[in-house]
Amino acid sequence: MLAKSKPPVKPPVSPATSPKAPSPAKQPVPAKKEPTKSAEDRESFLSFMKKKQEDRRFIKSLEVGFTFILISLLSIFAIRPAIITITNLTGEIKAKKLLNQKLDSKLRKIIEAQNNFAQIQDYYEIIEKTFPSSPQYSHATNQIQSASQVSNLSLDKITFNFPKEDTKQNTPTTDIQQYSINSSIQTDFYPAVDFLNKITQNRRLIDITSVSMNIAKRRSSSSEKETPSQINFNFNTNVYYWKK
Amino acid sequence: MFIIGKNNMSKNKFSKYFIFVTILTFFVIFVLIIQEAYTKQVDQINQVKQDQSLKDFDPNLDMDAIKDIIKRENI
Repeated sequence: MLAKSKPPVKPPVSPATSPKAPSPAKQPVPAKKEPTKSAEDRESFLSFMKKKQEDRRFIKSLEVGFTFILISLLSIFAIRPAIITITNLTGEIKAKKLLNQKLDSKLRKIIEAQNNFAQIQDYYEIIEKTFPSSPQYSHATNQIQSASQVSNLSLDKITFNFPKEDTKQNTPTTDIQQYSINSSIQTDFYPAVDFLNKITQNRRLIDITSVSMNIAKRRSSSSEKETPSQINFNFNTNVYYWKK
Repeated sequence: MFIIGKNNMSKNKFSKYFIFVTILTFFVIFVLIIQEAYTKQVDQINQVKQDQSLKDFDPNLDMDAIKDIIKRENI
């Protein structure tokens, strides 16, 4: 590199200043040529300086560029892991604080709920009868049977319908389970209404989903006339229970 | 390919582009690092916020329903 570099341009030496130069009196130099030569020299000197300055600027820009590249590399391999570790730790601290707050509030609410449950402890038995934790088919049957007896109805047949397994699987979000009970009987109108009233007032949750009443036309054997006092009474109910 | 200081690209131009590219690279890396750090921090807080087991519940019981049940008769 050094061998190939250009030799420094020597500044022009004026013939007047040179010691070996002959005296101006002996050999007079033409006045017209002197300014052109010095101008050329000045020009080459200026271009040399300009090039030097350009080179210096280029080297400086390279230095700045490589500094930025170095900082970038440093950021990737040294600063990035440190920053990520710091933010991870600060994030963890914030998350733990939030978790602590949430757990505190939840604990307070659990204690409050526990107190509320303790207050209604005496009613557990009643609540269990209203909304049992098992199907309790016999209990539901007894309730309907008792209601019918009180209302002077005699139920001959009670039909239970249970939901299919595949439909149960399709609705897993709810804990409320149900089965339906239906029956049909030929009775008078008022006992039927009284029976429905008893069922709606009953403590066990029994939902009457459908009721149908039709006039039963029955021929009496003696007078051969229709006696419309009796009705065909059909009802359908849903009985609910809690699935533990 | 360009040759510095010859016909295709002057040294002055090259140095300008070079500094621009390096500054841009540095800026992009800086932004990426900040973004990554922020995302990691926010993710941890969001995990706690979205935890289903930590959701609030109402500790108050519906006493009206219990009173209504007590009023009903047991056949």
